[in-house]
Amino acid sequence: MAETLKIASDLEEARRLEESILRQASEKGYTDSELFAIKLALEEGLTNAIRHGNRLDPDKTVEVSYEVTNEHIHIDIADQGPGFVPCDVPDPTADENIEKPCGRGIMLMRVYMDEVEYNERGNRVHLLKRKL
Amino acid sequence: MLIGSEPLEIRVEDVDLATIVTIEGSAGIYNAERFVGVLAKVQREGRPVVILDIAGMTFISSRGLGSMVSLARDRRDREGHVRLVNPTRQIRELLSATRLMQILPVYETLDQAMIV
Repeated sequence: MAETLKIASDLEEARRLEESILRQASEKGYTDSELFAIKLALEEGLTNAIRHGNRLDPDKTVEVSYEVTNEHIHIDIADQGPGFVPCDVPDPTADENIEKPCGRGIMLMRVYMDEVEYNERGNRVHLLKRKL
Repeated sequence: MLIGSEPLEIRVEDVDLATIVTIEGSAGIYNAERFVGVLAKVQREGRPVVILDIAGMTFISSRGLGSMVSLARDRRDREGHVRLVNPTRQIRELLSATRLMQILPVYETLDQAMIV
């Protein structure tokens, strides 16, 4: 059953939530590689929501819905920021961007998860990873 | 222990022309800033050659990767370089997916990385 909760724009709260989700996935037998992928996507999604979406504003929250089953894990992360257009983010693996320190988070989510979809406003990301 | 929840330990030492940074554990969401801070200090104060021994590092996100990129670019501009030592399979895959081995070359041992 899916669970939905709100956390403050706070990295320690995000860490606790991340550990809770990963623990549930570990208990369901997800491999270390799958757990690494889920952790990476969670970190990128939560960091984007807290830092870029809510801009660390303590009055804003991040809503996270997730479900961990024996077949897949899905996670929705929504912030209260203005959103963005994912297609506008340059490809960080292109030669002209390879030395830029930022801009790899969305690409990593796409590489490590089976589905990554944003809503139209660009302030909610849906992540899905299928269990092997 | 859950993967990527290991405590982060960082040691910095100067050896000849190189600064060796030994990193163990996870540079995850809560302690990535400490990792970024240490690399920023190495960027300001370290030697021309920087060796990041990450054999014991279990996790890094784009935030930590970005600080490595900044350090590599800075050292290249100063005619130095940054090298990585023996990353785990998962971090190797991360470096491959991001194509960062182009600017952060990987060596299998510290001795190999120290050879000029």
